[in-house]
Amino acid sequence: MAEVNPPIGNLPGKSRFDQVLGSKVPGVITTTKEQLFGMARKSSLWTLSFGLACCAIEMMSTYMSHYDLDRFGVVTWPSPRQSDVMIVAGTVVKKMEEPIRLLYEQMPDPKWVIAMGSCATNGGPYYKSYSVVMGVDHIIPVDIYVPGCPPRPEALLYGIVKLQEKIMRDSKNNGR
Amino acid sequence: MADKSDCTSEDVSDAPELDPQISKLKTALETEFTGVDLLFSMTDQIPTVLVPTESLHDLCIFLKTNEDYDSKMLSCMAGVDYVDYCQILYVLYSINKNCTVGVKCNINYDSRVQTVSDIWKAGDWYEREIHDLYGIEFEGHGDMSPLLLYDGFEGYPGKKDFPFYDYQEY
Amino acid sequence: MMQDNSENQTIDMMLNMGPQHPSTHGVFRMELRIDGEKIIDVKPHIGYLHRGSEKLSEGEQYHQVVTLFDRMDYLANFNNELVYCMAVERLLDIVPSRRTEYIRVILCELNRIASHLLYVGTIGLDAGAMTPALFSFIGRDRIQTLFESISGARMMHNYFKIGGLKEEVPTNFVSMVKDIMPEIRQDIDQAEKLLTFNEIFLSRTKDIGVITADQAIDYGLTGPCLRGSGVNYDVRKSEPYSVYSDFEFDVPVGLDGDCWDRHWVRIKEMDESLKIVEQAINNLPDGDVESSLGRRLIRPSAGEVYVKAENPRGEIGVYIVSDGTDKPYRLKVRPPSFCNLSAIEPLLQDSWIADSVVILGSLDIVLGEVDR
Repeated sequence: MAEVNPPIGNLPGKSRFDQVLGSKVPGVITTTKEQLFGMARKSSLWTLSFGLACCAIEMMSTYMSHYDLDRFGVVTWPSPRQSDVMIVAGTVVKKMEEPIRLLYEQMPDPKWVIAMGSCATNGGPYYKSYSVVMGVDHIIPVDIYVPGCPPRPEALLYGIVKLQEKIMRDSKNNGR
Repeated sequence: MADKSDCTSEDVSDAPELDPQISKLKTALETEFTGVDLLFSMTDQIPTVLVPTESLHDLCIFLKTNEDYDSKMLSCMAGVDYVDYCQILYVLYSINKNCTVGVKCNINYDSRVQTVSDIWKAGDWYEREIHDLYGIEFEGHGDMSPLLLYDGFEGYPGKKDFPFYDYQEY
Repeated sequence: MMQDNSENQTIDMMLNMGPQHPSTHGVFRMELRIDGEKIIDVKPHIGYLHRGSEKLSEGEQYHQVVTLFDRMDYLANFNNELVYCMAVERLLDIVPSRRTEYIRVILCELNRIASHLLYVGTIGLDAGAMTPALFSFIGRDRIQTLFESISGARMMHNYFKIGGLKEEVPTNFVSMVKDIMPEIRQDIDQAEKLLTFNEIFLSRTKDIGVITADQAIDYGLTGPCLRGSGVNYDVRKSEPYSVYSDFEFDVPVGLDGDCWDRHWVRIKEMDESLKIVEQAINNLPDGDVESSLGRRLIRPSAGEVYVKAENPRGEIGVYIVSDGTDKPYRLKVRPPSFCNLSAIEPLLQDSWIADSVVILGSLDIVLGEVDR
């Protein structure tokens, strides 16, 4: 079924994409630079691996083979200097405020924050406790909240897809 | 709220039917610590002895070196707040003899008690935790910096008069 | 504090392995004083996940505290629920039915396998191998799907109630467990075959992080960390609780006390857990799993109780003081990882920085229960 097109001279032959869709897709697309950068940013989100508590285990399950996050371009990266998204997974304790603030400021722009789980959203089951911050949005600005205790891997996937849609929308609207 | 006094430190040593574990503990200890006021009870299948704070250290060394008890492992140190005083329960365990012994000690909040971290190294972090939660000073420990709470935390959360639902900064 | 090693004209450096680090297994901070690549001194800092579970449980009724226990050691949910339910059952002096006990043991042992599978994945990541993690999480997902069909949630189950279970297991429970066992066997084999006798893994873990039996007992170590040093202590054998005395299983014990022995003990424990699950599922008794308490509020009489159990990480102890009301007066948990972690100071003396990651991984700590 597949035709093999031998290369002519030093040039590669037509790619599969060109063979199948070559005549239907325009070769030149016009768009604004913000939308182009937005599409590039959303397709390759590198997350800071910042698992604090139980939600970190479900985050790890999402990265692994069954609910793969790599197919969305999402790779977990240990260093804040080279990552785009910070997924705060777990309870934020008052002793941990300063490191979270430091890490957020070490990330370069543009950056986004996903608050995963109910502890990061509003304190969760520990909302009466003397040493828990009632939600990470008291410390850093949050873009997406993923509820659950812990949220299923599919819920985190949905949150990341929503973040991608948000990035595309923001790139159309206010050019960030 | 119900009676806040210590639930189980009634002296059962004069009860007509003495648990064999308690009688064994009693004979082992009373020969060694004659002038000391000891109270024996059962904490749910663990024979426990209540000692005054001055003899705590010597009693622990005795239980560690005695060959019947051989308590080489400090399983747990639990602090309980009974408004005027704090009671610490030491759970000692011996792997060779498979026997558990409990030692209790009532400490007033303004007094100090000697550390057991020179007998068992496991006592180091337990004592720092009890200091964080109850404010009890351990003599001879050396490093009472906060373990679970941050520097500058005011108050002792383990005590009953620590505000429960009102302690919010946000 | 700086120290001048005048023969080499060097000064020590302070390196912070901070709360956010890819390999500290949670929020754990170590201040290392290093001389080149060698660690001279380590100062551990914990408390970055101290949520106040013990104080919170004084404001909740006995039935509601089970959810707090789920979240303490978040890799061994069923084991934690079991020890709490056993403690309150002893306080109330009730005995659950045999069917309840058998189902509890099956779920606890499956949870032990899931926890050790995650350990295999993370020790591979610590030593530099990414593939075992991918294989071990497949096995974990299978077990979690089974748990989801029984209790409704993949992780925080809240399924054990005081005196019984929340509801009856699904009708195909026995066939589900029997089907899943050979698949788990295959997943375990695939994941550990890559690591256990691998030459690189052996050179990374053999004779690293040695702790002698006397030192281990002094620091209060329990579980695979203690059994790796040659001490045969398992709460399921020395003080059997629940129905563990009905089953035949061995307790693997190591020889030298290094990282590889602890790894080997955990691999063998997974085999023993599969044996227990097989014996239990073949002899599952019929009966009722409803708790004899029903939905009543419980007010235990005044008293104290101290119960021990064997978690995947070691011996967990629960001390409850009750004063006759419907809320506990004091609830204290003796977490296994707390004592295991306090032995980090002698373990890291005179070791390389790269080894510190492997040693910390071999202790297999969970910060949720260290800090509570």
